[in-house]
Amino acid sequence: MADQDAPGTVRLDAVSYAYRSGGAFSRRGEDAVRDVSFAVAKGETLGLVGESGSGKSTIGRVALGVYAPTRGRVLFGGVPLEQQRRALRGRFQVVLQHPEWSLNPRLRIGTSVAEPLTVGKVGTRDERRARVAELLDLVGLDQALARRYPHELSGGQQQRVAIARALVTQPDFIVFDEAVSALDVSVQAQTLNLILSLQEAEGFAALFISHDMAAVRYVSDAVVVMMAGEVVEKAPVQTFYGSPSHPYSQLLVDSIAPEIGTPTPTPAPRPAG
Amino acid sequence: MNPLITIDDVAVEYGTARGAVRALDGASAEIQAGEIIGIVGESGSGKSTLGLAIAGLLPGNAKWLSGAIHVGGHDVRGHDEVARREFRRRQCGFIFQNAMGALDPTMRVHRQLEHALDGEGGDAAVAALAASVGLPTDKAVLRRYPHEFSGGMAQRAVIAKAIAARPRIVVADEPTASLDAAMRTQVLELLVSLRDDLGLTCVLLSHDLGLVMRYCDRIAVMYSGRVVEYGSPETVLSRPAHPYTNALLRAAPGKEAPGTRVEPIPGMQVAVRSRSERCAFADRCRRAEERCAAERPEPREVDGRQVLCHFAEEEVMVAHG
Repeated sequence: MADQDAPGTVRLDAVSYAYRSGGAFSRRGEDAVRDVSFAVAKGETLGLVGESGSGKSTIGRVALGVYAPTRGRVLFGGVPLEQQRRALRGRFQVVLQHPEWSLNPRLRIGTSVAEPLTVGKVGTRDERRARVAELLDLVGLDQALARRYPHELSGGQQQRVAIARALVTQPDFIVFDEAVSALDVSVQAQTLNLILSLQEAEGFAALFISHDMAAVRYVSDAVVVMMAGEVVEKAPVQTFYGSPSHPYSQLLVDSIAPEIGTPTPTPAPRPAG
Repeated sequence: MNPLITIDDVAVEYGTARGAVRALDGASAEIQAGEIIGIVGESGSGKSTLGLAIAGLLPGNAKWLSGAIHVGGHDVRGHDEVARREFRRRQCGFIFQNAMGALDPTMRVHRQLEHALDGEGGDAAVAALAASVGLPTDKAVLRRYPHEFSGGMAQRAVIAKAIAARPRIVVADEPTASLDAAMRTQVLELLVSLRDDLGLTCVLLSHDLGLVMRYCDRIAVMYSGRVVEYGSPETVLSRPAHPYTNALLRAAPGKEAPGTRVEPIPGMQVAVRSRSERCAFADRCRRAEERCAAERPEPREVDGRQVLCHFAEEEVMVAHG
């Protein structure tokens, strides 16, 4: 495996996170994730799958530095996140399942996309405006949409805007948390292709959290399977879909309908390994 | 055998601030009793409107322009409000997409199930109902509030509410959209077992082709308010006769080799405002010819399924070759 602390690599080192509940005198903590370790290199996509409640999204938040791990460390380029907070501003981004979660309904699209720059005081107004136009172009949207409000756009268009907003700072690491789950089949195909080609062009590391096994297979280089807060399998994508070793992984892989995408009635037997 | 549900050339439009939008533009299909029928289509294809229309739940701004839906020989739009209400109460359950939203957040699940049962049979009936959908029968668990349930449990509770009155039909609008792979399988297997045990007819609205393929007896593909292809999943999905079905299959990530890209469908589905006198898919279709833009396709029987395409025969041949 490549150097896990190379520049641009995000690494989780034995991370645990406990949600706390209860009042001051009855404080309880329950580990949502335990001892999770993995690394995502520059230009690479790691698929993160598992049932609801297995801690996928928690891992996403820990990896982004939104939650500080209870135990363990998150490193970017070999340096713990908390030691480079200011430098990392805008370097990490997230695309959520519902674009309406990331777009303020009262802001025009252009303002929303520019917001990460505005907040970070990057560039002049005109530079930001030019960058927004560039980004809308990149995600395949008409630049005139910058004047519109989110409700005037379709769901697929909104998700493109959310992706444009995430990309505007040229981040090093993007978490896609169920980013295509709410989209229609053809829009989903467009969005997945968009993610693939943007990654080729921009070279960011990506964590692709999803319960859609077919989509994960399509975009990821490697897959991590979580169950009840722990990593039960970690494998390159071909190995994983060819011969998953954990029974739960087997069940997940089986959930892809065999015939979809292969119009021939009997799919050819897959080579082992 | 007479079909249980007959959908005959139904056209429905919604009045909106920006003019009328025709959600259904002559949809037709027949559904046999005891079948699970999957209606697939993208947002805006009219599948939810069709689901609501079958259940007699169309909202107030919907205007029924033509056609009719009969369930067991009765028009779902019968003029008698009492009969309509009775139909919705007794004959047709509706499972909403967002389980948490379909449960009253301020009421314990046990009480909600009691209400669904009209308060008959007490705790024993509630426990039996819970058991039939695979919920724990322990009253302590059932007396929790919806937010204390997991997504899968909440969806089961919603299904329990829908089948409490022993309906003949259940319309399920994307019942598994927010569930993970394992839960999704469980919920669909639950619907299959309810069909087997209670003889329920199930109309499943979904955009997940894989799911529909596995669990449905028949599949209806919708586009721009019409059923463009209708038949058994093996026929429709392995040898599509409509270019749209084919395009959908190619856009869905499945088992393509690493490095190959899925093919998005070019263009966008445009909302129809009046009766379409052409093929609505023509602008996005690889196969489109002049005739497609000039003549409205009518349902035809091609290779064992109902299809709306002037060139269905050719499309089937390509899928074969």
